[in-house]
Amino acid sequence: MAPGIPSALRAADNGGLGPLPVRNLFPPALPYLNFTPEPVLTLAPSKVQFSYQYAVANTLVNTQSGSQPGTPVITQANVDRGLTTADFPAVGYGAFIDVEAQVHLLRWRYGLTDSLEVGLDQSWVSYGGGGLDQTIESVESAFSALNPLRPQFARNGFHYFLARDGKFLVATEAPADLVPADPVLSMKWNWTQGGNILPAISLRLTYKAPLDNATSLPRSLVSSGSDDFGYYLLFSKAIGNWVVHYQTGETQLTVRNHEYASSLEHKLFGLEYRSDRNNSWVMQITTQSSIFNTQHADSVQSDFQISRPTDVFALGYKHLRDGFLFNFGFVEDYNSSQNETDVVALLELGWQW
Amino acid sequence: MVTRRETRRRHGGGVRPWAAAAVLAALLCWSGAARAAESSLVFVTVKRGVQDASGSGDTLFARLQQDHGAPQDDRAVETTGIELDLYSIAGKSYGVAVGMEVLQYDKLFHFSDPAGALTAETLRLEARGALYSLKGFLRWGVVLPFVALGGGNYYVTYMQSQEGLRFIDSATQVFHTRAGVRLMMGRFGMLFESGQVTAPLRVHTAGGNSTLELGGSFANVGFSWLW
Repeated sequence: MAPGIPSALRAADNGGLGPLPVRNLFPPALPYLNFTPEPVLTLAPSKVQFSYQYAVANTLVNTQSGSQPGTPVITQANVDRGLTTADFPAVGYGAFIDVEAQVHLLRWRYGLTDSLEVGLDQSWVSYGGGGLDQTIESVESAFSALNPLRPQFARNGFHYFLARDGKFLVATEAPADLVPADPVLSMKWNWTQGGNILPAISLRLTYKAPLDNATSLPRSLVSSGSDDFGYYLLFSKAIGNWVVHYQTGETQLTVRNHEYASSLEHKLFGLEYRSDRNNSWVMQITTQSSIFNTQHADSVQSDFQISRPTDVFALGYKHLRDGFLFNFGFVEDYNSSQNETDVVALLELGWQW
Repeated sequence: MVTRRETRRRHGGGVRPWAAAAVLAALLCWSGAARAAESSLVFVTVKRGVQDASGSGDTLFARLQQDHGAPQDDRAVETTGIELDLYSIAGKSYGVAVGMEVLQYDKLFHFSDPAGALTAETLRLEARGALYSLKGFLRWGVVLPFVALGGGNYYVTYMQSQEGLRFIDSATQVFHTRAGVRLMMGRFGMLFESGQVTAPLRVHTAGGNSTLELGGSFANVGFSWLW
């Protein structure tokens, strides 16, 4: 290290292995681009990283649980006879989402220069009833945090109904297998690796290109049929064995007929404990504005539940050694506003050369 | 005549954001000669304090006062919290730290009209904050003065008995500044700090929309353990 360089600017290993790279998998948000946490530092020039990620996201949302007087109530009997628009409010959003989504994601990253990295993500999504409901109920019960909706409905069913102003945006009970989602291109520009005081800082830009106009099922479950883009600032600072991550940004969505919010704001705060050079334990909190538009201005607070910000807590483990990478983790919503997945489990394997 | 102390009280009495930002920026940009090897310290601190949203941008309490009569309780709340601080000693006498804090308070506010013309109301706020901050600190032996700024989230369970309004919500546009000093006594230590946190939450009620300030000016005392 050159002795004349100010310590604030001296290079330090501020990057760590990075936060857990899992995006929001709430079914209505899946057709759109979303923020995915990333390591701040870029790959070295000509380095390639290729990984396969498997994530399973279990969601149960019923806006018609009877908590709002004067609106229709959905029970198991309604679900058994088949839901119609009459089961949802004539004004505003209404949702009954009992879905387990399995996402298979291929991620490719390439170091262009010392500070520039490009990437491509391609995923395939399966929708169905899944098999995790009983396990989730057991775990939630153990923590005295059982979602009160869960015992009211049959396990492992697939019912995806989302209405707005009395019309369905989504209405399906037909499972779908390995539907290709839209590819996401990304570029990360590392401004500084930081120093003893300054954090490492990067700018990340992402762009989702539609494969087609996705006007029919099942493609419309995973694609909006239009392009989105996002911009995010990434910071990380190593202090001893700990690395602190802070990431924030916005995703601009192209939305038909104002069905959903046209932009999403994100922020992540993460803490990574490096047990050694190759292994890290990660916990992170991600806050995101709702995919749903704020409802009518004369509504009272309880009507706004579905358009409130959403928060999830993630806990995971990351390993990178001799070019082999392995990540696993869990994501749990802790501020349920009927606009977030209940649980996500994640596993990723990859190679870097 | 409004004294300087009164002006500070009206504005929350905490460190002004621009002042904290300027000091922090000066700390970050100060190059100095790196003489000491980098090392780190991890503190766990349990703290108690008072947080007062009087004089903030809160309009909810004024509306409740208008509809239900004067508040019978002080706007200040007592907070308890736990904080994890990661201190990185970059030079011989300065460094940077990251703090993570969880705090909570729970208070019942009564509104009533002595003349009896208005219906009495009770508001209960159960709030929790998850805050993180970037700190610049100096190292004067066992004394570590610091300034900090940061963000986070506030979560609240809001219960208004008369209007029958109950909801859980969060304020995500949170900003806070603080200044304080940490005293080290072996593996134990004390923390004294004061500052300002803004955490506005829009509340939509049948009576109209208003802003509930979940933060305010604060002062804390804590006991810490060097991990």
